[in-house]
Amino acid sequence: MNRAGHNPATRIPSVRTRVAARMIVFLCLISFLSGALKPARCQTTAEEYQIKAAFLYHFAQFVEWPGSTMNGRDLSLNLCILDGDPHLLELRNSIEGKPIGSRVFHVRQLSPAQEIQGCQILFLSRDQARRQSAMLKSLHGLPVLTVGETSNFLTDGGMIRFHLKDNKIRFDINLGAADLSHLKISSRLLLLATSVNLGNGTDGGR
Amino acid sequence: MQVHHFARFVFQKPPGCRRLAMVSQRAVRRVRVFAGIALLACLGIPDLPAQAPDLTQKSLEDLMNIDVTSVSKKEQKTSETAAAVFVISAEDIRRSGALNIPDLLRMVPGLDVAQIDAGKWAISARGFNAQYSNKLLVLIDGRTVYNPEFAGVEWDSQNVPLDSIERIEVVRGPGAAVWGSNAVNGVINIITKSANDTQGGSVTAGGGNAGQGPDSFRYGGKARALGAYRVFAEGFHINSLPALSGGNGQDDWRLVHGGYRIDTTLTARDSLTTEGEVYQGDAGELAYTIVSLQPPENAILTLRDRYCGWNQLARWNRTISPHSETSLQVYFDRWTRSDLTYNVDLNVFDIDFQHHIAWGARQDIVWGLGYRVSSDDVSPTLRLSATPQDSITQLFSSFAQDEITIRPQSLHLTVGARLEHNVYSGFNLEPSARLVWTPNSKNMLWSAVSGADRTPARSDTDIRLNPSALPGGAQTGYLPVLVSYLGNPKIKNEQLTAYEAGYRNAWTSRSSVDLTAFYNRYRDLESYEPQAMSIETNPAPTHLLIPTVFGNGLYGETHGIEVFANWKAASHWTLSPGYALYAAHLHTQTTSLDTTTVPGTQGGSPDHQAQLRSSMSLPWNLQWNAAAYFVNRLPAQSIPSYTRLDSNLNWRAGEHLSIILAGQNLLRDFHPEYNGSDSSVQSGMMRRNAYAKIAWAF
Repeated sequence: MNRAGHNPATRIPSVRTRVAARMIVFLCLISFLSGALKPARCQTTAEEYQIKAAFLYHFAQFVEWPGSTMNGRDLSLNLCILDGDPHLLELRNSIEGKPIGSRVFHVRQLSPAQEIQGCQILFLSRDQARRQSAMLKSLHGLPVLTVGETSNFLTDGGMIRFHLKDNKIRFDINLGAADLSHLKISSRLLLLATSVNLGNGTDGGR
Repeated sequence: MQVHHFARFVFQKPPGCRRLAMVSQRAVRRVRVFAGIALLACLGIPDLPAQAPDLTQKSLEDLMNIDVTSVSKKEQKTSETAAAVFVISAEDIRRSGALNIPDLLRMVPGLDVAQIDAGKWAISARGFNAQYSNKLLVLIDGRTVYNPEFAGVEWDSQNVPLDSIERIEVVRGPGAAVWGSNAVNGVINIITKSANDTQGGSVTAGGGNAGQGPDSFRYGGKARALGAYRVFAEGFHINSLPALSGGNGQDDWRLVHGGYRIDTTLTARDSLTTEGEVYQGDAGELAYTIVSLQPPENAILTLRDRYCGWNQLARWNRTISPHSETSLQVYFDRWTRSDLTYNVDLNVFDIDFQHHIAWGARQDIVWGLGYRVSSDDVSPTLRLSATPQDSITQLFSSFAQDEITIRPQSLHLTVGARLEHNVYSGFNLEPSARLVWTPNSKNMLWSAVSGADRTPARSDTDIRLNPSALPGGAQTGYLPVLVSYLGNPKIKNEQLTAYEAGYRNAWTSRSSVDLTAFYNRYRDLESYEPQAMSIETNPAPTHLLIPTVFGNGLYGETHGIEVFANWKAASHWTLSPGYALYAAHLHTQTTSLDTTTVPGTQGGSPDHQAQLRSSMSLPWNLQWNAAAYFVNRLPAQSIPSYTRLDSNLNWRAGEHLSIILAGQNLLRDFHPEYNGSDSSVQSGMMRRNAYAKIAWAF
């Protein structure tokens, strides 16, 4: 209801301009600094899914699958993600074709009809939260290392869950679920985990 | 399954007026500021074509020390949703430096956020902005905070500690088929973090020239039988702002609130979330209001608006099979609010059941049933009363939606409808059809046609508002004159048919674009119909009554475009530009005598809004963020256009400590954002302010 006549905001453009100019100078300074100093520190930041891809690569080195899963002829180690997962490219660019021991890492996309057979690792990103619970149930007891990132991933029966702590990537392990699938997780990995849950694989909580 | 996001997307937005070209000196200056920001940002990235290092060569221990530059994709798979969705992630919240939810919502392109005074906002999508915008549905963890009795959102009592928010999903455009009535021009869905994700403690304190706080305490732990829990308490005191009309606005705003959330795993298939909150607040305001039928009839009063309330919610999720999940949610919400000129209390009980079932390979169905009962009491004052004084209303609702895969991976059709029954307008059917075409993983096109209704509330049917009185004169026979707005029990739904189309593109892993166009047709929009004068004896003394009755005398169209992009200019720097165009063409039916609502509505939402946000990671765990928002003028309110610049420097000083230094409204000492005639409150001038906040986690 207030119908004020003039508007103080329009009164003093020169002050405003000066403040804006000062802001810009300040911002430039900061950005210069960031540019100049960056090379020394550039190793310490990276894209989330590039880092996660590297984690997945390492996980494969610290997990032992039961003999039957790795049939001798096939030299590939398959990381599967559900089709339509937006992180396919990032994962592929980071780890596709990398040697891992005597094997070669491959990133495969799993369409709904396709069998999970041949997948040693299944990564369910947050974007797949809708399908997560059903997917994990269908894998119950199968020798597939399941890695995810939603808060209820481990309670849904998943094995390794990524989380962010202070902008750095950490992970929790559900050893119960891994045991159930006859996967052996190296103690080195267990030591690095934020929490290790010994539950029965489906309902242990975290 | 988090309550119902998979299905609940549908929406749009409309109002404003069209004023495409208004190049003033101020605009030129604004361009210069934008250019300056862009320039500065460029200087910071000498390594643009940075090749990603081969991280697999690093050890796990090294990997654990790498900072994540972006939590890249939105939590929700918005790229597949056939609606104009924008998700504010927890990371966006952290980077924004915002102190409250309305300031966060400014980053959503196409949303119209205008601050009225220190603690009040007018927020809408796609036009029709007002202090009580009645076409935008807002929910917190599945609990509606759109007031079903008074058709609007009291933003000053919707406070969630910002570091407990998992994400905010904002859908512009109608969502009524899934979310229910009043999701006409948009839905804002605030989702808090699971207690599993807020373990440990944190203490936050802050302040600046705008006020003290929010100061907060939070602790999360695990109890054997309960599972994960958290408790929190938060308080703040925001200083008063200058009034637009001059002088002190007397609008300082205080709030304390506390609450909890528990996430319990009952069995392998069942989980239970319980949460609750209690709050108390008060805010000052200068309001022009009637005080008596005798001189002086009206006055600008310094009022103290006091409010308190509590709410309690429980949600039980059950996985029946890999293809079938249910959720049952119950909540109770109570609040009271009053100042000298009104006194209202409200209770709401709501129960909602939902079943999600994948039927065969091609159909994904969600259906649900809901019941809500609300009771309220409006203690009569000279300014505001209701007949009957108290009322109990019930709402019955049901909905079903089917997402049909026409061609696997590329073509999906979603059809849905909601059937509701409410006491004011009876049965409403709100249908929607949405088509998504994903020719490849980088492009997605969608279009939708949907219907949505804004249902009447007590404030449309039963209320009597006496905003002012006039002294008598010879023409009135020396009787005083009372101006009165009267509810109309026969009022109908305001109805919308919306046509939307959108395009999303992720050309590269570094950039994405989202474009939406909408065309909305409204029928039976609310109007204010002047009636013949009459003589009234109660309240005494005998006076002449000039009544205005609510009607459905307006109709019209709105249209617009909303576009936003994300561009990762370098590994440590992200830019997010956005723009929204909006135009309204409203008309008065020949039977209507309303001459003020059309210009007030058309000129009360900006026709152009633009924004540029920048987020940059610096060495030493520093992060610098800035956001500039341009909002064009509001001709109906004499609000000039403005550009708002907010910036902050965020420092993570080790594992436990983080410090943020922030400035808001940096370009001007003062500017107004809203002065709508719908609000009796004297608008304030937003002030340049700076604050520091320190957070300790343990």
